[in-house]
Amino acid sequence: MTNNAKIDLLKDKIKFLVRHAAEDRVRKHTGQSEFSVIDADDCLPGQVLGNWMSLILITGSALKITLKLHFSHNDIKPLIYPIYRKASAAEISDQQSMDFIKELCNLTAGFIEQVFEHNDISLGISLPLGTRGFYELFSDYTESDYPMIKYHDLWRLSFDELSIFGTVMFEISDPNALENITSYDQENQDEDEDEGEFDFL
Amino acid sequence: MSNLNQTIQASHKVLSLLEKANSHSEQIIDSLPGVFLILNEKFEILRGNVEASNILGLEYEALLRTPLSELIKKDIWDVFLFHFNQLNENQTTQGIKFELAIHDHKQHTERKSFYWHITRIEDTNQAEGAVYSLMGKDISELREAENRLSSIFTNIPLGIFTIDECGKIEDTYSNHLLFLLGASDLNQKSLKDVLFEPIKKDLTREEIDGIDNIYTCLNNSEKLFEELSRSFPKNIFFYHPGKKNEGRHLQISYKPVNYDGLLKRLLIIIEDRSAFVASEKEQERANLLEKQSRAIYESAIRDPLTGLYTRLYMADHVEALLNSHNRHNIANACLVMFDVDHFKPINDTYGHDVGDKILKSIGAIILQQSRNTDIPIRFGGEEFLAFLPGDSKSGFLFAERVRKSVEQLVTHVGDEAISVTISGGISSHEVGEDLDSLIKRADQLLYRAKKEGRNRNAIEQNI
Repeated sequence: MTNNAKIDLLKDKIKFLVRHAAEDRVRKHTGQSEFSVIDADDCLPGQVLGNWMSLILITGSALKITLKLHFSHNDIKPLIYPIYRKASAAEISDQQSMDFIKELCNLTAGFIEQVFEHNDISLGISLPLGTRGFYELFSDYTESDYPMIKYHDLWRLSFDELSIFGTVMFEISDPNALENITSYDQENQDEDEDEGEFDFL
Repeated sequence: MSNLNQTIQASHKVLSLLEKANSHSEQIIDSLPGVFLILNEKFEILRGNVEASNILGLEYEALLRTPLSELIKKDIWDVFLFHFNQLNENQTTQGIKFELAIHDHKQHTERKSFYWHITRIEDTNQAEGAVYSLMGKDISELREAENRLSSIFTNIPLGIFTIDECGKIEDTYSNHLLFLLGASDLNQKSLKDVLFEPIKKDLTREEIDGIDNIYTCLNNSEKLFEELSRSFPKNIFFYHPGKKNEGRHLQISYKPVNYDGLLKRLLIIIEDRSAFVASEKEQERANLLEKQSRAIYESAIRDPLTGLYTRLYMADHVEALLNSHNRHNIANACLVMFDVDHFKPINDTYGHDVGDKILKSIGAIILQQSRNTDIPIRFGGEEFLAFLPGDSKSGFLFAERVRKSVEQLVTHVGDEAISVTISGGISSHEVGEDLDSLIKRADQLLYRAKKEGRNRNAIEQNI
């Protein structure tokens, strides 16, 4: 395998790991197994995809991942009011809606960190940040291979009419240090993973 | 602690701060006192604030990606579009400001005036293209206040306008101005041409210099205005050629409008003083007439030779004195009747001029001895009357003072010194007695004084 092919494989593995993590976490913690991660081909990076946004950083010496989830309160509230044991979406505040997405960011990042940890790659997770979506205007999605490998991914967590958009920026500074992750097997990993606790309630 | 953990700890702190800062910024944007919108290249809304949501009639969540053109009327959107295009055509311009009224979705009936500011956000991306911020400040209350003020200005009977630094009329604030100057449109016309040119031939040298000084002051220091403004023409008679009879007296005042210490504009207020001037003239005419009437009356009631009152005055005023006595408003009233002794020979010998001179001197003595309340009258020829609000004793004392003064009077005719004497009769008015009776009794007493040797005063025996 050429070096370029190795790097492409690494890039894809990490990209799909993040997609899988997001899909898995949203399914488990909303109780909606119909949630699926799909390409957002009709959208472009840098596009304002929701009124609100939660951001989390997953960083290590060889890799940095910036994960953003874009949403609207009007979409999230009907999804989560049963989780909060409320009678209707109207009883959910904006803050509760934001907390839910921040926690989803946190759990997704935790999943990713755990996978890397199993492969002897140490990563850290920041606190999730919540803000308005229009700051996405000022994001930089420029891709590059040198001196740092930079690339991005854009998808949506889709369920019925509901979409939670995800934009991810990857920065790999040391591909060799991440080599173990190329052997990551999604199916096996799912068996071992931690169920996690949705601890924002 | 590992390097990684340290980095993460640091990023936690930074992200917490960033989240807090963002949250505060968002609250500020939400509560901005006006419309705030972020629009992309297709003029879709990417961010709005509370006021935008209110004005456009959409919930905040629903604003995202809604084209602004769908939320406002087409004619208004066309104006917005024009300004967006202007901004795009001129890449060096960062922002465009303009005023435009839009419908408030809560109040469909009328438009509200907004002052808009479109700014191009330089940091744009491929997905959204050019990005603009659109801010609209609600100035409807300001415009309403302006309209109220303007309607006051428009209707007050003053001509109000400003001239710019070149002396051209810039803004007119009153309909009355057009009426005063008989013009239809004054915009951008020269002050000189409009106000002074039609009456150029009537202006004095000083006024012409004053007009030049107005132009000298423009775009110059405040201090120069203070010095020269005294010379500006302030009162003119304005008319159009051939229509002098329709002219108006205008009073002009000049108020400086300074920017950075320089006179950039001049507020000019014109007041039509025609009615005032006409009333002043009318007043002058009335005063003159009154003066003339008074002169005529004076000449009728004043004897021009002696300065004493005439019989005409006596008819009007002596009755009042006697009535006061009749009503006991005064305790007494009396009459002194004088006659110059041997006056006819003086006239015959020295002529009427000398006779008149003596009569004039005697009149002056009687006036001198009279109080304000006394009524001295030239009764005819060399006869004089004096009505006094007092008893016959005080009348006698008065008559004696007059007699003695006349006795000492010397009139020079060439080298000759002429002396005359005077006799008098004093009668006390009885309540209810008429004027003729009073005069008759005084005349009888005068006759007695003459008979007893002249140069004396006769008083009733029982006093």
